[in-house]
Amino acid sequence: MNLNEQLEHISQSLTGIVPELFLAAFFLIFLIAELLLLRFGDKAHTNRRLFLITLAGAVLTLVLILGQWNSEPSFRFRPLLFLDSKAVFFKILIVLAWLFTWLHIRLLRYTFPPELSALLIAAVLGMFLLTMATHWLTVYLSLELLSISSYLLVAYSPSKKAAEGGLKYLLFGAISSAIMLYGISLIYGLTGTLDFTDPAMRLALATNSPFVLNMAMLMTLGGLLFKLSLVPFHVWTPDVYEAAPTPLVSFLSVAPKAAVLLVLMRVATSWPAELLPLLGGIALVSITVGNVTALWQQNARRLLAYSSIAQAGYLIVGVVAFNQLGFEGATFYTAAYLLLNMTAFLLVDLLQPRSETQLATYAGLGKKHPWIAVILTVVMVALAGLPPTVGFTAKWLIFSALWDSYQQAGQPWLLWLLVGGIINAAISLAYYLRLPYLLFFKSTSVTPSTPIYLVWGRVVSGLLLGAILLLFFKPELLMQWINNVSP
Amino acid sequence: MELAVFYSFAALAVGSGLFILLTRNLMYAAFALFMALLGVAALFVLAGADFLAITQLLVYVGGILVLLIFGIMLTRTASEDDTSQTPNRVLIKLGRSFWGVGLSVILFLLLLGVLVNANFRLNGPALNSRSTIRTLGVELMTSHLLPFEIAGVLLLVALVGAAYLALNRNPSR
Repeated sequence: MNLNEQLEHISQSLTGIVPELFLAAFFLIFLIAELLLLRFGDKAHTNRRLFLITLAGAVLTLVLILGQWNSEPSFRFRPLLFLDSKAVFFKILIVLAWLFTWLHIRLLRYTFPPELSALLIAAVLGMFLLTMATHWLTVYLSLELLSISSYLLVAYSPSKKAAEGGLKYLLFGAISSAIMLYGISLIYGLTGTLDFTDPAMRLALATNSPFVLNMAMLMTLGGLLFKLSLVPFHVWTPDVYEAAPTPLVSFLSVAPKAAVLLVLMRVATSWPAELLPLLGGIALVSITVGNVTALWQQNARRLLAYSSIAQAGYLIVGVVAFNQLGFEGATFYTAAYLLLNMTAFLLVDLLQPRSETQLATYAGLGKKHPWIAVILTVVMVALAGLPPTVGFTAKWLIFSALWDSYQQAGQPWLLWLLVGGIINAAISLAYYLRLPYLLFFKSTSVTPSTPIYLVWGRVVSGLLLGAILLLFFKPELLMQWINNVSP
Repeated sequence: MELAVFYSFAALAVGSGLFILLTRNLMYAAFALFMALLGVAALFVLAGADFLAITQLLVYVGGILVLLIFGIMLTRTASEDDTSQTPNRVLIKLGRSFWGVGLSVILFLLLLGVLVNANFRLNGPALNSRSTIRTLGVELMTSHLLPFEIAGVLLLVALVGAAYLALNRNPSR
């Protein structure tokens, strides 16, 4: 390509990444607006205005993304980004998680500094770029953008615990980034390209011995596995979930995983098939470690942290199955997991507002707030994967995809993964039902803190319950979309 | 000739790295890091990456290392009878020396195995321009415009976050 063609391609590409450009500009505008508004006007007023600005920005982003829905799948900044409807679907999920986080913050009346909204915008920008990345350079950079914003989101509050959690997050994150960079440099040395949609990469990788291949792939995936909190990059999860405020935990437990899962799908379709047993092993170990360790937890957020390690394992089972149904199942699972996990965090927070969420403090609250406690029970049942909830549909989809894949390929490790996954779903029931047990069958031991904004809390959680049940009885509402996006 | 230069600088980098690992004085380690970074910069020059070598010198030796040394000097509270030979205290107990060394050796052997067995394919065009600066400048503004811009946003986020944390964190709480 000569210089003129390149410049033309750049200006074409720029018109194709409007939501990302908007978010980058919005980040700058927000910072300036914050400075100006804080200068002229009191604090409470400013906070409300800034909240409205954020909300308007988020809604506008959603509109801009919906505008991309029918665009032809094509490269932007060839070969750095690739925009298809799958990326658009995941971007919609990410914006919904963003809006849900704001709903959570407003319902529970958290007071956050305005810098936090700016950091959330930057994190969303990082995730948007991640959903389109098809080049290790863009994957790495957008992952770093996301990581740096998340470290700050965890560490922002002035308490000692937040500092500890943020530091642990930063250290583990930096180490897994370093491992990922080492892996990427190996991959570049082995193949001479960083573009993982390039067939040359697959061919060059396949000429290596399985030992070299597996080590290089494991190291390269390090940063992605860290964001998905999969074994062996999961150590940070419980401490960070315990240290950060609940709405941010709920955002960080879902949105980055959605973005990274799409990258993993893209990598899985273009890398040698040796990747799949590696991912399968990681999935099985993560599911087991997460579920077994969760049995001993005494804090609701730590419990949900170990549960999210296990759920991340289930998320990549759909990728491991490696067929049409598997990818659709994984996409469905992501959407269901987003709904369920964020609802779980919201309800846990509604029962004991802005607390440390020790499990013992939930004893007996079910009789005081029956409506919310019942919905929390349903959500826990859904996370364990039982009918009549969307959790069951999601697990059913990925397991049937895995069974299909086993019948076609006949590799015994697929069957082991299937059996292990199902046994673990049974184990997970033991700790998911602990919270409902405490809520309904124990008597109150501590004076419950006064609920705030409970009317709106009830309405919102009722709507969420409706969505969870509706998607079980009519999963085709969501599946239609997913069928459209996966060609 | 070139090979001899390469090996001497590589030995400088690796030797200083080992010294950092084995010395018990933090200040010596910082100075050894200076030698290690210098050796790496020289290796970059030998690999034809002149711009990278200069950046390495400017950023790491000129910036980060000086910051590191200042950090050590400003945070250290030395007692009266310390000499330059007194080892720096490590606050946590070093209990896992056997497993630590064992794991590191295993990891080293694994990585060595990967590098020895790997089938490297470095098929870039032969280097014939005298300087990489022109190529870098053009590429950063054309084919690598997007990563350049992402890095810009990334640094701004880090700056905002660092300023916020530094202003709002009261260590007494």
